[in-house]
This record gives sequence, C-alpha cells and structure tokens, in this order.
Amino acid sequence: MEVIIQPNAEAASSLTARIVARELKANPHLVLGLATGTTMERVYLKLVRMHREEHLDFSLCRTFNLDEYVGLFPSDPNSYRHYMDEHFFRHVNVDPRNTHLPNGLAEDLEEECTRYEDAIRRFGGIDLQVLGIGKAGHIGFNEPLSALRSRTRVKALTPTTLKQNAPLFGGEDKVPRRAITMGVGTIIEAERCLLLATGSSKAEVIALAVEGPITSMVTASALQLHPRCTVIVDEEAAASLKEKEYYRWIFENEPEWQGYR
Amino acid sequence: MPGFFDLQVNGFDGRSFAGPEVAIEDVEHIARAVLRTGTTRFLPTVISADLDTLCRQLSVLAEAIERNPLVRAMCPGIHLEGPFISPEDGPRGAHRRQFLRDPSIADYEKLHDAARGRMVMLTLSPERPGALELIRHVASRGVVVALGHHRADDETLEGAIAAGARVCTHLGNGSDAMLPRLANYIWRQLGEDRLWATFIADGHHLPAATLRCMLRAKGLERSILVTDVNELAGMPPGRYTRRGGDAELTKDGKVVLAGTPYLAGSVATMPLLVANAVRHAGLAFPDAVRLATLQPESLMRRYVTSWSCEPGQSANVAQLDWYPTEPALHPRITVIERFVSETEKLRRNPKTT
Repeated sequence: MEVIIQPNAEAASSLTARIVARELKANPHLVLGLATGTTMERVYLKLVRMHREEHLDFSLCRTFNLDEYVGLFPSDPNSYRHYMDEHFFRHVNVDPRNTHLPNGLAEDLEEECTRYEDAIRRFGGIDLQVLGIGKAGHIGFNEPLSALRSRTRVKALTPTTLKQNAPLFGGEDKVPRRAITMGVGTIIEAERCLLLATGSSKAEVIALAVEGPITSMVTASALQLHPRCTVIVDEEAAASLKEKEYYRWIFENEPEWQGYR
Repeated sequence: MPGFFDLQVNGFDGRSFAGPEVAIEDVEHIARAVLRTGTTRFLPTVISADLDTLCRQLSVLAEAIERNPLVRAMCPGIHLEGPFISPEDGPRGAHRRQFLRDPSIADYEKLHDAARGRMVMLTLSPERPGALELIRHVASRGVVVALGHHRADDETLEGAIAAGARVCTHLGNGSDAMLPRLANYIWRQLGEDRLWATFIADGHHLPAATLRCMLRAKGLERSILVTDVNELAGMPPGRYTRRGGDAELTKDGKVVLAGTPYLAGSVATMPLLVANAVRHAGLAFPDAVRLATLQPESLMRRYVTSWSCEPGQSANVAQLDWYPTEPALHPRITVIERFVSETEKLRRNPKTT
C-alpha cells in the first residue's frame, strides 16, 4: 500500500483523475471500477474536463460500479445509476452499453449478483478500481463484519447508514433497506486499487484502514492485502496517520510518481 | 444467426490496410465490403513492415475506428501480425524478411502509441529473443497473444503459454514445407489444450482431411475459423503487382507468391469457410457457424459485447441462403447496429435447377 498526501481535496482529486487518465491512455479498453459519493464528484468533474479539453477517450472503456440500492428505478434521483449518469456518463463519450451497475430491480437478486460477478470476469476482471471510504471504514456497502472474502451480494444497510442517508431520501423510512454491493473479495481482485479520501471526517477511519490491523470491522483495511493499492488523501484526512513523513518521502523519491509530483 | 466475426482481415476488394497510403476511406471501403459477406465484426490486420510504416498504418486504423461509425461498429480493435516473427523461409510465409525483427517492448510501445492502444491481438514467434518478455508485457494488459509464423520447440512453447499466449494463428500455415512426420511443432500445438487455434478453411490452406483432423484434435471449443483475406478478394483472377513481389490469383481462388508454391493470404469469405467446415470437415451446420461467430467472440470477450438477440440489445444478425449446388453460403441481409447490407437473392444456375 502506498499513501500519497496532497495539500487539499482539490489536489487529491486531481491526482486521482490523472492516474485514471494515464491508465486509460495506456489501455483504452480499460475495465474501470467506479464509486459514488461526494468525494468522487470532484474526480468525475476533472475527468469530464479532461475529456472536453484533452480529448480523453472513454469510447472503448468498460465500467463497473461498486453498488446500487435495491428497489430504486434508474430514473430515481437517489439511485446510483442516476448519480453516475448525471455526474459522469452523460458528459463523456463512454458507450452506455459498456457501463454496468448491479440491477437493484432484478426479480431474482441472488441471480443478479452472480450475473454481475460473471460480467466482471468476462471482461478479464477490473483493471483499475476507484474507491471512496465510508464513515464506518467500509468500501462499497461492505459494512462492518462483512467477510473479507465476500463476493457480490445483497446487504442490509446499517442503522447508521440509514440515518446518514435519511435527509437525501426525505425521511429514514424512505431509505432503501438493502443494496447490492461487490464483496470485499471482489474488490481486492482488481489489478489496481485507488482509494480517495478527503476531509477531517475521514481522518480516523483512514488511520484505522491504513495503519490499523486488518479486520472486517473496517473493511477498507483489507486493501492492505492488495499488491497494488494507492491511498490518496488530503492533509485533513491524513491528520491521524502516524507515518506521514515516511509516506511523503516515498512519494518524493519513488520514480513511479515522478510525473505527478 | 449472429454475423460472422473474423479475427484476420488484411484487405478486401482491391484495398488493403497495408498500403503505403492507406486512408480512412480505404478502411471504410473494406468494412463495407466485409459487411456484404455476412461478417459484422472483424479485426483489421496489419502485417510486417518497417516500424514507421506500421506506425502510420496503425494510426490510420485507430483514427478510422474513432471517427467512422461503421468501422467503429465492426472493429473492436486491431490485430498486429508481425513484425516479431521468424525470418526463416516457410515459417515467415509471405512476410518480407527485411522487416522481421526480434520482439522488443520499446518497439511494441511505439506501435501501441501509434495505434492509440487499440491493438487487441498480437501474433508473434515465441522463439525469437525477447518474445517471452513481450508476451508477458502485452498479455498483462489483456491483449490476446497468438503464436504464429514460428518454429518453436516444446520448451519455448511451454514458456510462451506460461507467459500468457492464448491461441495459435492459422495453425498449420506459416510453417515449414517439410517437417519430421511425428515430432513437430504442429502436433505439439494441436494437442495443447491451453491453446486455442485459428484455421484458414478456404480449401487451399488446409486439405479437407487435414482440416477435419485438426478440428477434431483441437476440439470445437478451442477452434476458430479465420479468412486471412487480402485485397485480392473480389478481384478477377490474374497476376497482381504488390509491394514485396507479385501475387497470382488463380481461377479457383488461390493466392500464391508469383512463381512459388507459397500461399500469400486468401480471397475466401466466411460464408465459404463455414460451408467448407460442413462439407470438408463434416461438422454439423450449427457447429460450423459457431466457429465463425461465438467462438471468436469468446476469445475476444474482453473487447466485445456478447451477442444477444434480446429486445433492446444492439443488432448483430446475418441472414444467409444456402443452395446445395453452390460452394458457399449466400449472404442476404447483414445488420450491425444501424448499418445494413442487403444482397439480391442468388439467381440459380438453370442447368442445376
């Protein structure tokens, strides 16, 4: 795992977008894993700008999102399909048929999960998975105690998450109770992982995920097992990390990061 | 049925991807001609040339895929056949010796950049120094690595498979005219279950009995038909001047380097290959179709959406007629996305009706 600390959220998102862009240029057929959430919005904004200004080409890439609520129509403004369309897909030249999210309206949800895993496998697995981190230290909807080898499946949302999302849905009773999410095992099979976290509210969980023990209580900590995982944080989200100086030294000295410094 | 998917198309109807001045219009012209044959998807194939020429050809192809909607609909990527192949007579086939070179990641990257990353298949010889490193390098990116135009021994083949090689390009062709009868690289590849293979079933490249044996040995689940068609397809028989030596197209549809017995690509189309697979190799018709449609799709699954005839999916269908007196199927209507190609019903020969 590598940790890169950027001065602010703007710089952290920009670095994330540049890494995605570089991978996409090296392989236009990139299979890209995507995430939703406020942290990601800045990244999508930058990618859209790169598409417009530098002709960054998404026409051949395939995307797979981490998760989707059960029971929401794609047109529902709270669905992740809607989020992705609004923030990213409709602003770039990605072929809509190449964008994948779990279908939360499927009649047989179990079957939908298997189908989703099969689809990922069909394209040779995810080349680059972009991730955010939840307040409980989770990736996707893999909330505390999710098995570290779990696959795509239906998960019940925790009361904390329900409460957190209540304002968006206009009341806690309106929040979907369940979601389909890639499992921790699915996520860490990606060729490369990029985790982006910004803001002081993420400082504690980032410290736990990066420097704490690997535990299903903090599912992002499973990324410590990943051979090629980069964690990008701003100063605020890095506040509780112990080895900041070491991380900075690596970023300053590793040839891999030359073009990004 | 789904339209055919051809992994190896060098040209058609007088135009070639290998022309020194190949332009986007040529690529579109070829795509249109190929669509008339019932083929809805194909990999434009570029063969050995000097690096600068290759870069130019690849960048024109990439541009055609980016800009031309028909080319984009039909071509999920580019197949690079050479220049990292054996220089020996026999294995090199019709590739010109002066352009053949040792595999190098640096050279490949140059080509990769020129193609703007759109190469999806690479045919090379595993026994050339540096080949295994290059195989590893491109396979990790998802490019389908094919072994072809080579003379590799067992150990080298094993190394190539371990490095990520997936398939043999036109197995049996691009090889020595004389080989030890039992211990040779064709048998070795034929019996290797970790390698798929493509076959040029045009009636000239592989004798009927050989094709039958090869398909049985390789197994239908690992076999694919390719045309390896070139710019002489659709042209009248005769002698043609080409860069690198004249080619002769005979009346029975064979292309040879003029004055030699060496085959130089084919003028065959998928409808002929499928008919041959039934007539010569004794395959059931649906199996023969599968070798030209879903099998190549399965090998290239990383780059194509899987075929489906569900409502709401984009169109990819071909309708063909088959008259028992005709050598090949006759394509009637071919549709890929919003592009349609229609051909008139075949007028039957009065003598045979």
